[in-house]
Amino acid sequence: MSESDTQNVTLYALSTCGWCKMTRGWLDENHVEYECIYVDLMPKEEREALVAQIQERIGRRPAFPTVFCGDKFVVGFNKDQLKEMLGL
Amino acid sequence: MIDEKRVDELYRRLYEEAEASGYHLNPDVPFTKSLIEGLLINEDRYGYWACPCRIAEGNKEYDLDIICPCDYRDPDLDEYGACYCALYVTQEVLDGKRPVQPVPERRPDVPPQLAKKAMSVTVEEGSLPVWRCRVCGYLCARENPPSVCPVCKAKKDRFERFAFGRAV
Repeated sequence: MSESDTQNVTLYALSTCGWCKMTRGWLDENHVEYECIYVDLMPKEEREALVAQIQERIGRRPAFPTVFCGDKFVVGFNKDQLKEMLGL
Repeated sequence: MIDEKRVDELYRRLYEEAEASGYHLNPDVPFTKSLIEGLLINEDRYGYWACPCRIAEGNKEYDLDIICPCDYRDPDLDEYGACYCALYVTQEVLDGKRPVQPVPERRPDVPPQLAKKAMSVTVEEGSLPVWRCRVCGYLCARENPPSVCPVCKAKKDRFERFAFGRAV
């Protein structure tokens, strides 16, 4: 059983970003269930609040894609790190 | 949704401009066109080409360093063979000698144009080295010379370190 079966997986992405698209494709190929949130499509106030929240969790200004699985996260489309985090 | 014709037109323009100035677009055309579509979406949203792979504030002063081509393109090309969003790649990548891989973000949390100490950036001795193209005299201040002179297309090895009006 993979981590993603027991933990909520969330992908924070930009709708315009090529690496975010690749991350989506990779998660789909690996049958990971996840929620995708396009941060750039959110209204300004909600977006700013979310960016601040992500910044607090990752300890730096957010970069996209960022995938969270429970308390863990991976910034950028790094397949090895994603596999490890998701237990694939 | 951006009109396909607009994407194709900008793709052609950027391709020609890149090739004429020593840069190269990513040869993965569908990927590159999706980034160009992102640039056009940001042009419609903000009025400028904010990097499609970075979150824009929508405030031009704040986003100035990430307007494509961003301030970080050349050092990322030097170090990783691609810029942050991978719209631009090096000749090495184009020749298949190096894969395109995700590039870590080098933009500081506070953009340089907003950092107080960077308000009046000058190229001084001890900061970035200045490089001179021995063929046409083009000068640029950056860590390393460009792979190709953007003016006369001379190769990197035709550049020399330059200081105080003489080669060093």
